[in-house]
Amino acid sequence: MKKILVPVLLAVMTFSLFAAGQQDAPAADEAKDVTLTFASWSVREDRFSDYFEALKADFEAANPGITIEFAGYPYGELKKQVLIMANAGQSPDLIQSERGWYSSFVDGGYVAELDALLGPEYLAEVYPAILGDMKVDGKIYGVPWIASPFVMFYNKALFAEAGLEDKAPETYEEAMMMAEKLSALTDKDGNAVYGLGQSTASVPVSGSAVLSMFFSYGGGFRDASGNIDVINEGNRAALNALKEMHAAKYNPEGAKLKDLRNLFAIGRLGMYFDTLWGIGGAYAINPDIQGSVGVTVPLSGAGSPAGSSLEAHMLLVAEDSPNKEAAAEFIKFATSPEQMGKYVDIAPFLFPKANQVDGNPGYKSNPGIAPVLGYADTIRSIEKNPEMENVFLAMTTAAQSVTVGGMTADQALANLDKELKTLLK
Amino acid sequence: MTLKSKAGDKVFGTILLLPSILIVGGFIFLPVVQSVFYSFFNFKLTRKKMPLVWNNFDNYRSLIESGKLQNAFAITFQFMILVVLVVFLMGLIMSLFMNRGSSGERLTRTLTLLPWGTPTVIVALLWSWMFQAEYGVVNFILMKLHFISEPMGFLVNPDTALASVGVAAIWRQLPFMFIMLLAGLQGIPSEMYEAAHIDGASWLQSFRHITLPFLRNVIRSSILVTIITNFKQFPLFWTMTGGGPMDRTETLAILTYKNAFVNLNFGVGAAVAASWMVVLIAFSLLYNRIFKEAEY
Repeated sequence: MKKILVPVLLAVMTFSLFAAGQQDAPAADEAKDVTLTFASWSVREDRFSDYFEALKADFEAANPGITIEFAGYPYGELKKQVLIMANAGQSPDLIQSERGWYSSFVDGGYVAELDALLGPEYLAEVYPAILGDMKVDGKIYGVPWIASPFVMFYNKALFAEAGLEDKAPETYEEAMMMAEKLSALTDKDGNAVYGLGQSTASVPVSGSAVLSMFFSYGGGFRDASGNIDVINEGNRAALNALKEMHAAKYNPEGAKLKDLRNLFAIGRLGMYFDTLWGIGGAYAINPDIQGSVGVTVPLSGAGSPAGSSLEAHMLLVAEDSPNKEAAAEFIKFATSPEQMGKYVDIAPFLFPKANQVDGNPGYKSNPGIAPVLGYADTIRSIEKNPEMENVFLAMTTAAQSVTVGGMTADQALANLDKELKTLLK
Repeated sequence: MTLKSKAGDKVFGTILLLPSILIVGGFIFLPVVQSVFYSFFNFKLTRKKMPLVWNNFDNYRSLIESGKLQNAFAITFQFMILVVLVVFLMGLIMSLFMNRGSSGERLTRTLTLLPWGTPTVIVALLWSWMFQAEYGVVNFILMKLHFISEPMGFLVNPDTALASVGVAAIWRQLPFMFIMLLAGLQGIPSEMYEAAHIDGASWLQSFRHITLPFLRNVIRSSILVTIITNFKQFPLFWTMTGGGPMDRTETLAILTYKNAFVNLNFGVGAAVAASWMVVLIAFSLLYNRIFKEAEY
């Protein structure tokens, strides 16, 4: 029996080794194939679905051996999901990130440095003010896909009804005077029209909008030496302006951006501040309004040059990705002038790179974009700190304090100063 | 029964209990201990290999110095007391009314249960829209009835935000209290009331000496569940107010979430959770003691 069993076992083992070798051989060939997982919230949006399918097909055709796999998450869940996956060792290769989350990803070491991966030629095309805003200790960990400051939209039809010239204001002082006339209007049902909308709700993006107002009045939260500097003339003037807007009922109380978009869409808001792509929310509610919407760059206040923090949807590469080069190739492809031209056809946003503007001649003459093409000059860089979302929330608290809270600007700034010194110590 | 067989029973019982002990220990006790442990260290969610550094109670100190912890405790208790009180009183009145066996009881009971079957996030979105200043139905009705002359931002006004979230919580939780109390009422033998009636007891006396003592256990457990639900209420606040305006709805749950999941500072988040856990345990012990004493 033993005499038979030993040769049989040897034969089985030899066959197994041979079979295993046969299995390994094609695996070695397949190793060239790469699948990139891209975590994104935009891929879930119906209006972009055709665009993303075409982007995937075009990229895969241009880069044989690389497959794109979209992992769609709801906007509010994406950051958390990516962090959970990264900590479980299953990080996606590419991450779509909100500008406000960037600091958390960088500080936690979840994303890769992109200077070498993208190369100086690519980065040289990004507007310097925007590239500067992306730098952390002089290095780039993410690039803007689409960008915008807090621009101002105005309703030309309401302007005409209020007897105002079809011309956007350039300063907050002008906007306040216009708001007075707009707020005297009512809609066809007799509801009040608001003159000037500035979001102050308890969400980080509203804090970024409030900070932009501080910038426009010459304020901010750091002095030239980098110390916390909140109690200053610029911030005081900005909060007093907000207080005035609230007292005169120009601004809806504690509104989120989506509330402002709703009111703007139904003709109950004359002017408001939002990202350029935010107006898409108003168009979705009332497509008829598109013909009467004007847009302008951030306003200046109290004689200071206009300023805004940068809002952007960014593209990041995970530090744990084994396919960083391929991921960088995808970023280059997705942000190429050709692909960006297709993307901007679906929703308005601003290109963060000069070659994207040059490569799309029709872009410059788009009436929804042309007035704000010079937006990069208004961008004020903000620090990359994982506490930034809380800093933004503290900004909204200051805004709420002078409006619904009835505090003076000085009281609100004293509280903000205390909070920021704790958050950013 | 011999001593040997008694010892054998104990061993057998322990073996039977062991899986439960391991599951409870591993999935409940261990994370709690770990959370308390982390509250004493600089512990941020990061991919970088960082050593745990004892920070000399800095997580607790910073929370107290900023006033955030005290504010969150005050807000949480205000909310909890408001909701529990209203839910209990309304639930009791409704259950007493329904226990009389009025017509259409089954339909009313089914309709009353609808809010309980609605997910809390949906409830939050629903009430956010209803309270909306410009196009919310609450403002519309109040203005039509001339209770207010102009729309109010219920959720953005620091004086009304907490109560407004409370209304949504009451709407969501009332059916639970109502059903529990109704079940308790239906378990009281009718002979007790008949005997009291023959003895000439008034409705109030019957309620005090029959209804309430019979309902004691139901009341105790229902209120405890409602207290815990509201103490850790998160989705309503996060969806409706995000902790604002001016931190007036920043409860302990919101403060924990902001620290742990917004800025990924799990050390501070754990410190809030640990403080909250200690208070909740003390509160539960006190609560049970009060009810126990009331029995004698």
